[in-house]
Amino acid sequence: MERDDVAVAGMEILRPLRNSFRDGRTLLWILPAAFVAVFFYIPLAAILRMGADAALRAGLGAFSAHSILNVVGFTFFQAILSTLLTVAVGLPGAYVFARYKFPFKRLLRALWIVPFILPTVVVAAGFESLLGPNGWVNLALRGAGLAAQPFPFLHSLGAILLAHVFYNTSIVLRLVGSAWERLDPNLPDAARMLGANPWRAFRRVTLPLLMPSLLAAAALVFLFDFTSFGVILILGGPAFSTLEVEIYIQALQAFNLPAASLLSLLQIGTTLILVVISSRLSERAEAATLRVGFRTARKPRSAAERFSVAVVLSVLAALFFLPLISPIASSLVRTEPARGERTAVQAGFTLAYYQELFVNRKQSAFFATPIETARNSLLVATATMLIALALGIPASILLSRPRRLDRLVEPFLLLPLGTSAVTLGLGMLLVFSRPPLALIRSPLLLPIAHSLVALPFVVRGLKPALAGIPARLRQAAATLGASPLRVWREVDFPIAARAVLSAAAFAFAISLGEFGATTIIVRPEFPTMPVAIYSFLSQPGGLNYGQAMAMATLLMLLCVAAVTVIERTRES
Amino acid sequence: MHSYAFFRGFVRARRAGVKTVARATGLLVLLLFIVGCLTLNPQTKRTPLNTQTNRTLAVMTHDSFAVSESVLNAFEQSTGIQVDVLKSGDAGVALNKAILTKQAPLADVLYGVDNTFLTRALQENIYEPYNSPALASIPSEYRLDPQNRALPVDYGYVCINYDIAWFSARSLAVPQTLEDLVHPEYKGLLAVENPMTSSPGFAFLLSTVTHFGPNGFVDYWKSLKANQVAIADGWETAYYTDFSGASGKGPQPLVVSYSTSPAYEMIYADPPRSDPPTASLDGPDTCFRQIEFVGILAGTPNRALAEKFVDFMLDSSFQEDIPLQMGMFPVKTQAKVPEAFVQYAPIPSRPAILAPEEITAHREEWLNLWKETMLP
Amino acid sequence: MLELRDIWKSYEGKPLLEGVSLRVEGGETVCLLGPSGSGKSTLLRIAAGLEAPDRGQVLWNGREITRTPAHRRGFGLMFQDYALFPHLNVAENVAFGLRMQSLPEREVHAAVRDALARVNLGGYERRRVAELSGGEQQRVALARALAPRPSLIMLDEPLGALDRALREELIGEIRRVLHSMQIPSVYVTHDQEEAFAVATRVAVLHAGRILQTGSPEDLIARPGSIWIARFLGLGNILPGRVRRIHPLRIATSLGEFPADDTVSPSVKESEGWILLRPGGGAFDRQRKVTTNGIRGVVRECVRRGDGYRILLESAARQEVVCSSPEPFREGEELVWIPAKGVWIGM
Repeated sequence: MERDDVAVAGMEILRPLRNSFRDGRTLLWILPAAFVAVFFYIPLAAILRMGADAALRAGLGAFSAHSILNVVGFTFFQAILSTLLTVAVGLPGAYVFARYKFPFKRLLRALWIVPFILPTVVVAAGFESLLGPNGWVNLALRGAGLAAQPFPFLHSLGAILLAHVFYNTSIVLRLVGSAWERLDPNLPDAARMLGANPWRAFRRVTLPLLMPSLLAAAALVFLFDFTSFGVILILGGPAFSTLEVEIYIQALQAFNLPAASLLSLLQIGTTLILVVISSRLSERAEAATLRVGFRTARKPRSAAERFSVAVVLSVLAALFFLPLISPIASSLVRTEPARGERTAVQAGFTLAYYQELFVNRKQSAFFATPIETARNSLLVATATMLIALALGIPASILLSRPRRLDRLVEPFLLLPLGTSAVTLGLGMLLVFSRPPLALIRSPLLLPIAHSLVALPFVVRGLKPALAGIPARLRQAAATLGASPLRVWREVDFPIAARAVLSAAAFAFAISLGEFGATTIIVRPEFPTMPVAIYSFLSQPGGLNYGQAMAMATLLMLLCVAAVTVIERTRES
Repeated sequence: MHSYAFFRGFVRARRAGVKTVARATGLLVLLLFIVGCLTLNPQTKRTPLNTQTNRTLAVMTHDSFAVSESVLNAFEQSTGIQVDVLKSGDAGVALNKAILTKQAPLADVLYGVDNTFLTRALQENIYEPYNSPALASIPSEYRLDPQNRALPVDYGYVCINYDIAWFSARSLAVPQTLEDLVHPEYKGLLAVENPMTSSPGFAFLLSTVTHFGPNGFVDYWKSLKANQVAIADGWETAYYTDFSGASGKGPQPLVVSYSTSPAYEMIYADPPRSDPPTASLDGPDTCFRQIEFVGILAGTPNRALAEKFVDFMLDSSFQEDIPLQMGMFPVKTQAKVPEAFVQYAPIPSRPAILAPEEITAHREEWLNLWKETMLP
Repeated sequence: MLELRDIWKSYEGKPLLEGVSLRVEGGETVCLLGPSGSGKSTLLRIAAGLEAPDRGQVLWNGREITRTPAHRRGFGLMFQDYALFPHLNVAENVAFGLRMQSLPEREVHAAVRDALARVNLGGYERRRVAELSGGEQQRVALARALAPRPSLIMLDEPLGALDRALREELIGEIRRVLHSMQIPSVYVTHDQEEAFAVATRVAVLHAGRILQTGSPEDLIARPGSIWIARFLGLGNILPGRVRRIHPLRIATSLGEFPADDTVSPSVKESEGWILLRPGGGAFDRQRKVTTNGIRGVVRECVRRGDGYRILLESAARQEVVCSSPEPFREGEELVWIPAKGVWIGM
């Protein structure tokens, strides 16, 4: 009797597994789970082991605990400062967009997402071409006779902060702006009628009601600033080091792998906490019910209103457009003779930099012609897209209608979201550069790394779409005689196809711009565009500079095209 | 009827979306096609000199590697080997990548490790020894590895260049020693490079360590900082923007550069000059000697080809190409050096020389100390 | 005393208010009555200081306050959708205006308690706004507007969102509260019943102008124009012509009827309308009466309040509305003799 009871109990516990087997759900899990296990968790374990080793036994060599504190401290410091500045710039912008009508509003609104999706190297190139020693601002200053020497705008804390504000203001504009639009405009009016001047009305009524979305936006901005890599590396220069940058430096320059591993662990831990916090805040922001305002946006009426709107829009426009336009301009204009070139070259409009991209010069920074790096990037991006979809679609199908087991597995699948790309690259380098898994020379390693970075986004995008059509519609279709296949073809498929296309474009765009992991594991004979741009930027010289700008422009256009696809499919 | 209408309406609305899907896919595919066409232009590829695929040699170098096309082509034609030069970042990064991948090496030959990185490279056993016959014509002072795993290719000196005309115009005495540089009359006149990111910058740091000792150099840098030394990120910026003696006509008449820079200024002077615009300081330890090495990476499948390439690098045609391509001196005794180099880039009398083991052991520590003293 | 003098306002090129003037004395409750979109709320907002007029002045006790910002006018405003602060509880909402006056805590507490008691919401201090019913929210909004002792109180369609029974109950309460405060009040609504129940004086607003001001009784007795009569739903309006002047008789398609000329002067043969009120008439079931009556068939008989509303269809297929204390059968033929009508000329 007892044995039967145990057997029955055992069967009960195993029921979910048996159910999975029965309808083949487990089969769907095998591919994504195996992939993430091999390419993320094994490298992660390698880092863990090396980091623990360093912490407990071997010590950190020249990298002291004091230095760790400095690095962590600076990472928090610059992230906090950047977030505060971003909010300060974004709030007035959110107000203007929520409350006023003005010309080109739709265009501006569509354009402010552009900085957000640009790869960091393009942003770095943008600021270099705007504020660098040979950038437009310095050229203007020299031309106007105001400065004999270039003013060092870059390689300063200010440059880092500015780039972060550029990158992340659109988050504040979008999240806080949409909340402000939904805020009943009668509320601040009611406060004013009760004797509150406009400032007090804002502070006591508007602000508390905007707080959930403001906090959610700030948390997200903080997360991005905290994990920022390319901006700090390129625009901050050697004097500034955050966790991610330090991981890179310790791994590749100082060659202190134990220190790099320990820092990676710290990084993963803090980022996870930040991701959880920001998710919670975002959920709370969405849950906060704000009544729909009846008053639609209106044109600014008084001269004071017109002036303030103009000021806010000008600042935003300058902030967003200048760093985008200046590399394009720099790629088309030769502003001074190339350094080291002994022949005098005329300044002026030129397509030479673009032409140079097709030329293989042994003297230039790469063996491959620069345009071949574009080919490499596109190939890698295509491979990434296919791999990410091959993994993401089964995972999303399972997670869109999750069983208990699936819900347990989901966080493990999405953990790469919280890990920095640099750490990912480091782990892969540690594990895959020696037999038996000597994949370091395989052309697939880079797309695999990119897929890991892209996978959480792909799953997030596909999940709601595949959860898709409500059950009652499906039942309605069934009662009307439509076979399941017909239903799928006519309803599920178009929705799913749109979501898949959007996710594919997303994976493609992420791969195109990926810099952190790529710098570590890229094969030298097949560089990608971000790596090439970084290399050109680090070696100043007229030809290299111009080519960096030309490549940055090209990469910018490719990313914008990919994102247009995403936005278009989402819109309809 | 009601639900059916709803259902069809739902489908109709979504069908419109499918058109957009098609359009967007088309856009993406078109984009891929265009760029694919652009990049497959056959003219951009080098015509392979040899159709046999297994005669390719991968040579990993730092980003400053340069060789005349004619010299390299001559080698390729005479041996039938196709040489793929893989530039992999600065010397330190290239070395670290080689170390990390030593069990599945990325290339066959590694060039560019210098004496400041030598011990690390040797400790990690990334090279296979090769007793090249060409070593016979190379003086022993450059052969720092008795086991010939790392073979010397070129050497140079990182020195402080000064702008001759600048000093004579102000009747100011040119500083003679490192100690002079912290004197008040030279306030703000010196431009150095950040040793964390610049090889000559690091070399100068090592000069100060050699001269003042590992416990004294920090104070020296504090004095330099008090004397308003200008710190540039890289040599290009320091030389072409900060230095007054070069084309940038910058504010500093003293710059950390190479002993061969004055020779370059003479060679490329337009119109030609009779006397040099710049020269190097020649005091005790004011110059630091750098030697660059090449080695065959352990585990390479192309040992024979690699040996040929190493011999080529130690041979006269390559060695004599080095001065004008890379600004260094050839190690081979009989290699001819351009006249301008002999005249305007004399060998320093008392260069700073530090044991490679010392450098490897304390590199990070010294850099950290420098960073904490000088930045921001 | 509040005076709005010659207020003009356009929105994005479209004129909304064209030369509106209004006075509100202490103790009065003036109702701004008009259809949706007539600009009533805008006029209120201009009086409150939340918007500025294109032309015209706002005066308080003779002093011009057109440029004074809203938070300094000391007026109270109760919003159409109450605009209660969702992040504060009831007491904090009501206390808001008092806090702005920087009163000491003790006074604030006392004032809040009194204000809530006045609107029959004693004990509701801690409740959250989201938990309240519509009627309770409305009362909190009223308490909040009145707590800081404003010199003038304005109410923008305060009963709009409520159901009929609640509305009836609250109309009485509002009237009681407003009259007890002795301050001038302006009440905006599109509902004629509400207006007549609350106001001491009604101003009818249409197409950016004030068409008529007067007590509710005045308006009912002497509607200033045909539009007003229609808007107020005063009764049946038939086009007609003056047939005789003494006594005044109007000829219509349904017959001739006696009328009052207190609204418009009567000129022989002039064209206009006659207003025949539903109530006060007589019914002839025997169909013997021929003059001053309308013969027709009962199409509908619906109970309304204490009586019945009858829809009568004449031979010419025209429908008139009449009220009767007794019901009639549908399909029954009878003659209705309306009470003396009102002549409204062109």
